[in-house]
Amino acid sequence: MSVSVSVATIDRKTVTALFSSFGSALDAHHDARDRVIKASRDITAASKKIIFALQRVKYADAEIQRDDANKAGIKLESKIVGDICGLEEKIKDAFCAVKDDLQGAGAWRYQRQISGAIQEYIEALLFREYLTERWILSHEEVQKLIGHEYLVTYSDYILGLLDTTGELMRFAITNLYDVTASGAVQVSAIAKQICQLLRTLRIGFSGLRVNSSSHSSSTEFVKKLNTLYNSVDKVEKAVYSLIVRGSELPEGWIPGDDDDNARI
Amino acid sequence: MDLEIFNKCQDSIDRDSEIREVTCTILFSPPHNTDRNVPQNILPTFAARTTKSFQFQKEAIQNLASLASQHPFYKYNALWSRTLQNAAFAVLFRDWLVNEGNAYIAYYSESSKHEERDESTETSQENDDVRSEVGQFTSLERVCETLGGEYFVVGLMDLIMYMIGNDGIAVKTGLDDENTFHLTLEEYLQATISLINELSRLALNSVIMTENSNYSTPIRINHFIKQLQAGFLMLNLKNDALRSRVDSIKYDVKKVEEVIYDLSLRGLIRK
Repeated sequence: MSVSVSVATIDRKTVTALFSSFGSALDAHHDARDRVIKASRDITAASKKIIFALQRVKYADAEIQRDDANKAGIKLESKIVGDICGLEEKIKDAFCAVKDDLQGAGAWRYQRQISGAIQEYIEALLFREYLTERWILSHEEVQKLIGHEYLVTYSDYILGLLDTTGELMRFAITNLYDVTASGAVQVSAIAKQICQLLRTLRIGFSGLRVNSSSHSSSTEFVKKLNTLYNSVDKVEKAVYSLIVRGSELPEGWIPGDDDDNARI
Repeated sequence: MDLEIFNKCQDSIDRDSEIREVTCTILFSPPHNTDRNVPQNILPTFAARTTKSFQFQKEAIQNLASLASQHPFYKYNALWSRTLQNAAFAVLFRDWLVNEGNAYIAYYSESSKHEERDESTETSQENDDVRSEVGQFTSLERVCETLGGEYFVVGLMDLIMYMIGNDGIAVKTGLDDENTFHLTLEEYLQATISLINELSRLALNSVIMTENSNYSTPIRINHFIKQLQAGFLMLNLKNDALRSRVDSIKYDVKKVEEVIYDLSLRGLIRK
């Protein structure tokens, strides 16, 4: 082995030249990373707003495509559609701003920085698709919607889907009951459907074998899986108690009208 | 609701953990081994004694590289990053020690002639190896070359162009091939800091282990790590792992300075 090659005498000049090149390489890396973090924040914020807008949909008032009772999706009000479009525009812009940073090696290099935003956006996409079409988008469909120039990992998809279950739970609870034309209170179709869906998802998720020590997203998975179990419990209990106790309600009782009735 | 979703997810998870497992087995196989407490008198023969370990290291890294090149580089980078850092450190340290061995011999052959050494020799290239402040800082390219041999270097041309450029200016902002296995700049810098840490120990140990009152090594170490410290000060660092280690350099500098102080106070080093 020739060991005496390229003995670099370390003097100020060499060190300065060397480290200034290191410096610019590091700066480029940090700048890219910062841009990705910023975009990630914007995407997360806009996605959260989309989810809140969807949560505000009043199922009882919404125009429901009733032709197929089981498949019936909600037609969103034009105001909400408008809001969501504006927010999606913002998300697209934010993605565009970091398109170059996330190409090639960058896709995985900055994956941890963009991952949170992608999960949040997946949550918004899945939630909307379920409300309007009664359909859970697959990983491929999500990848297509976000665009193939951005990396959507399975891990992001799984965690995004788990987050969506929380939103579905909330939606089912807020839209738990229907009042029929005759004034009877009953479990709403959407609550039943969501209950059924959550139970199916619970089965699917509990069957996944995830090596718990292999990477950081697996601890997150376990945490979110427990949240899913709680959500399913919550919806099941709510539907159950409405079915059991709802039958005890007096005829003509309208939810939220207790105070008025007392006064009369 | 289509349960096919879960089958696909499971496939992806299984593939992922398989790759992780295989990669980790490679990492655990042949460890590199550098004797960290090198007594001064073995320095000249040091290189020969480590050849075998470095050969092992090189083979392991080549295995790793051929496996890792099948996947996006940064996807699994965290798995081997630490190991590669240590490997790079071993190369940096070995090269420094080899150079130090030469400097040590040169220093003594020089002083045995009872010549006053000319400190102001600016043209170091012509009569190098005699100056007491010579220290070898092995370049990134050479570390890579030593680590992975040809295999490593082929994929590395891009990176070298990207980082160093022809005149020391970074020219490219990204690698063309996302799978190219390489030593990252951060890993190289981390390894450099490990070298500084280790040299600050060696400054003390060279005093302890020396039989014939050789105190020249701490002087060379002092000069060497101060140069590197100046280099690290040029970097804009984030609040990350590299930053906290760069912050530790000053303690190493202090440690070596104290050795120099003690020695010069007692008149043990020639001015």
